[in-house]
Amino acid sequence: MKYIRSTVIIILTSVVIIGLTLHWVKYFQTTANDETAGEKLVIFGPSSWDILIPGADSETLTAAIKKINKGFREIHPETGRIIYDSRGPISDGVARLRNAIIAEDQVDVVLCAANPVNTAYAKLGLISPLDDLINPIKDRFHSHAISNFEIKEQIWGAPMSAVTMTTFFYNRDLFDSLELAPPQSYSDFQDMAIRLSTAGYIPIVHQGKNSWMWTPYYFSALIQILGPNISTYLKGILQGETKFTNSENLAALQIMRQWVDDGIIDERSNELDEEGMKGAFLSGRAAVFFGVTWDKAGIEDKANFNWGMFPYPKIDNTKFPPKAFGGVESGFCLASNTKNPKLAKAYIKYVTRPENVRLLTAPLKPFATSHRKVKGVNSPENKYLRSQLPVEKPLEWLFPPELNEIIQRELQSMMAGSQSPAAAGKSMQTRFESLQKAASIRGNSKQ
Amino acid sequence: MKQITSKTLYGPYLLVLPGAILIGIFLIWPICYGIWLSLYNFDGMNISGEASLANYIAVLMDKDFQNALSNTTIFAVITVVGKNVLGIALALLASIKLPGMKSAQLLLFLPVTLNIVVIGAFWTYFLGSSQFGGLLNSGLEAIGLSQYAKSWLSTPGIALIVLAFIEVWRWAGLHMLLFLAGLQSIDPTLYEAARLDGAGKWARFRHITLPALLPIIGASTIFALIGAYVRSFDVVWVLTRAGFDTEVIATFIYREAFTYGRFDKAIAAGLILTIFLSAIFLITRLIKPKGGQNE
Amino acid sequence: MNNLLKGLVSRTAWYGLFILAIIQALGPIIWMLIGSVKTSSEFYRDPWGLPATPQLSNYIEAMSQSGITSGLWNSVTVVLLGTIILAITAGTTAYALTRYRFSGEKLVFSLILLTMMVPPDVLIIPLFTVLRSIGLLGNLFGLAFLYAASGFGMATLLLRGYFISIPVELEEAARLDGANFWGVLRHVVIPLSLPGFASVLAIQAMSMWNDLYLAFVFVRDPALATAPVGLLSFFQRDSINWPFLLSALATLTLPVLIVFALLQKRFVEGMLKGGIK
Repeated sequence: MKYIRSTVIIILTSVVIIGLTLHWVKYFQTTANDETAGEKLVIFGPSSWDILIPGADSETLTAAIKKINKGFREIHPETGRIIYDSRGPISDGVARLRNAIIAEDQVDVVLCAANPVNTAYAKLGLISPLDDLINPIKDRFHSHAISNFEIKEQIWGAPMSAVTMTTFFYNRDLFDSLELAPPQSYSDFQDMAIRLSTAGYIPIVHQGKNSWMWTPYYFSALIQILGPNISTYLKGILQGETKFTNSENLAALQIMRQWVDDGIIDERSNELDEEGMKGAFLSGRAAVFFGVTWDKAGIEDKANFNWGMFPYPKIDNTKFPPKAFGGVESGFCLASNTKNPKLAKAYIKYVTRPENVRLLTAPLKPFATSHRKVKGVNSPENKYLRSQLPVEKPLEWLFPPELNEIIQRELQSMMAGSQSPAAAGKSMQTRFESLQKAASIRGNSKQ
Repeated sequence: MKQITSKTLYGPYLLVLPGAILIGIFLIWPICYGIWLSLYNFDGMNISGEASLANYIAVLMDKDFQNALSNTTIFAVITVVGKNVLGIALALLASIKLPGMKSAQLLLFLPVTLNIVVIGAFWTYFLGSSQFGGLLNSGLEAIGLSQYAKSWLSTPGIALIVLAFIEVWRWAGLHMLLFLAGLQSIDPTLYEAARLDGAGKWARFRHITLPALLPIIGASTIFALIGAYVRSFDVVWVLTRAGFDTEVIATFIYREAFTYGRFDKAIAAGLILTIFLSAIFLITRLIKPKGGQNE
Repeated sequence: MNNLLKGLVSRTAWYGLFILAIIQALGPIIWMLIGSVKTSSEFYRDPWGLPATPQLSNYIEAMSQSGITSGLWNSVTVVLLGTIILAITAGTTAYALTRYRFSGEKLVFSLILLTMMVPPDVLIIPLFTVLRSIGLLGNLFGLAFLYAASGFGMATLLLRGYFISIPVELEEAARLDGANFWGVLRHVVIPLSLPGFASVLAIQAMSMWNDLYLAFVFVRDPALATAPVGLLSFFQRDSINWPFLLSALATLTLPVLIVFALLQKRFVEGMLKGGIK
């Protein structure tokens, strides 16, 4: 027995030593090979989603990258290696970018999503404005595309992506088997919920664990109450002119909570993250979920049933029509600490050329893109999506992240039944006010 | 216990040098730098003005911080008690002389070796609602106890306690080993004498075993306490994302630093936590000098 | 007769409790192994059932997708380095605290405890500056030192317990026999404390092996990424490939199990001899 153990230990130790040696030899060889001539360019993606073609498989992506690199080198032969580094979960994207910049890693171009650009990157000084680059080539882009990257009159990113929007996804086979049609009004939704639950299915499932995903429901309700006045209303909250306890806001919260009370949204949704929600949908247990068109690719890939999309319903007793939220989703930004802004900007200019945009968006079969000359693909579902245009810019971007966090958590707890809509509104207001008070205390200390 | 009074002046100092360099460079220096940073407005990259104690005041007045502190304390109480109790229980179980016990000790230790991702995944699936595949709830419903089936991880109030139990489960194996060591060092003749005197199992436990284990309980409590206050980020973040009233200090600091970019406030919160823990520790030492420091 | 029955009942009761304990400890591991050989859709449909046909290919595909082979070697390197650093620093400090009485002893002790009570997030940003000034930012040496530093407190305290249990008389006897400081170490201290030493190091090494956070923040070069960081590649935007993730996790856990199984005899012996006094 003792000899067996000793031999095992000896074998393992030798395997480890050999493996380590091979590994490090390989590593030093590759780093030696890396020192090729030319100016190295790093295209950085804060998360694994920030890639040139979000949702594409690796072959398509590699082929596209090869083509782009080749074309770029023809114009800029001084370029050395071009590295694409996109890793990590979405929630850690801001941190990853910040850590890279603080650590003074080489970061030149950032593949940036409009949401964090508006809520974090610009504010934290991680990227630099691009007005001087964009203004001369402004007519490449749709104006709504540029406005998604515009903060306080400065342009912070060059848009390049498909247009996305919020939408419901549903299991068409399941609906057909129950002779259900896609619902359009709230009472349709109630009928749908009853029919589905009696048949033993979960009507709508939601990724409630990710508190930030409750806001699409909230804003979708609020915009039917306020219509085009919604931005003024929300900005008013920041200035104290309107409050979360106002009747319009309470009505929106009530509408949202009603979905649970009427059995339309499964009340246990708070247990699920995105994984769980899509798992429930894909396994056929749940019939509907509320997502964004970027979910299309994954659903198409994994669903073994026919699926479709329908919009947020018209709520009774509201003045304004329903609207989807979204817009141009991602683009290219300039890292604030790049040592080669000239080459970085040249890359951004090159990759946002219409022919390249066509190459990069085609695999996604978009219904619309950020570029004027790149029209969407025609398909029945794209026809439906186009009918929902124009979309509304995501409203969270008007608020500082602390306030968004407050709103999200209160919504989450309201949907769990831990507090009533009225209490949620009150809590949002109280917490917001103490946030403001704390901020002004900090502001005073600057003297 | 005898000790050698240093004959050469530099003997012990030379010995302590490697350790001192390690914590000096990688812990003390960053802490001091952090203290300095917390006295300014710092967003992770740039300093923009002096703040002196404003960050500390902001933290202490922040309702979220107070809430996180009380949650963490609840969490700490449950895990400290749980780890000690379960550790002693498992150690007693594993010290019974039955065949196969040695490998059993290894098996019981296994949860300690698991990556947090596995732990998170397993418990999420286990505690989910039955319609989402949750095993516990399906089981409860199957045996007719469906009124006890709940959203264990997403009900405020319950979620925190469930997290504490998962944390206890995770580390029980480690504490079991600590207590096993202690049990082995108890002189068996004491038990014999007690049995002859007519003491029952419980009395033997209370009067012989527990007192002998007291120093280990002390160390075990320190590790559990530090784990609950300082290192509870993993468990909470993976299982509930700090929602449903499970925010603990570790997630509060993370959120302040990485979501809001307020590193100055985050560092201040961390240092307040350190002061808080040091205070607890000093108080316990005043009440009862811990065996082990004075030997 | 009565005693025999009592003995049998109590034996079955103990075995029963024992089996319960084993189930609760092994449950997640078994779940992980079963899940790792399912197909993705099987897993969604029923996370708890058995797969139709075990997909052992999951392991191979998962390994190539996550680059975990390279990650594993990086992890081995970092853990080895970190453990060696920890052994030297914690060992010497613990020995000094045990055997010597010197001024500043209390200070050292308090500092050690203090460093254990500081949350890691507080240190992240300052550490960037510190590491950069030493030139260790972004490479595995820096990470190894960080791992050693974070395990230092617990390791020193536990090692102190082991050293205390070695009778001073043995060391004095060796000295009387003419051994100098190193001789005492070699012939008395190290042999006697080895089991305990090994067990403390093994526990800390395991934390280093499983660490995701520090590795993710401080080593950003993909070629240097440790294994847990490689796991992140499974967390794609629209869904997680659970069977792949679980197979990667199983691959990650395997070395830990092997090491502990090999050390088990020594390990248990070690913990039993010393512990915390």
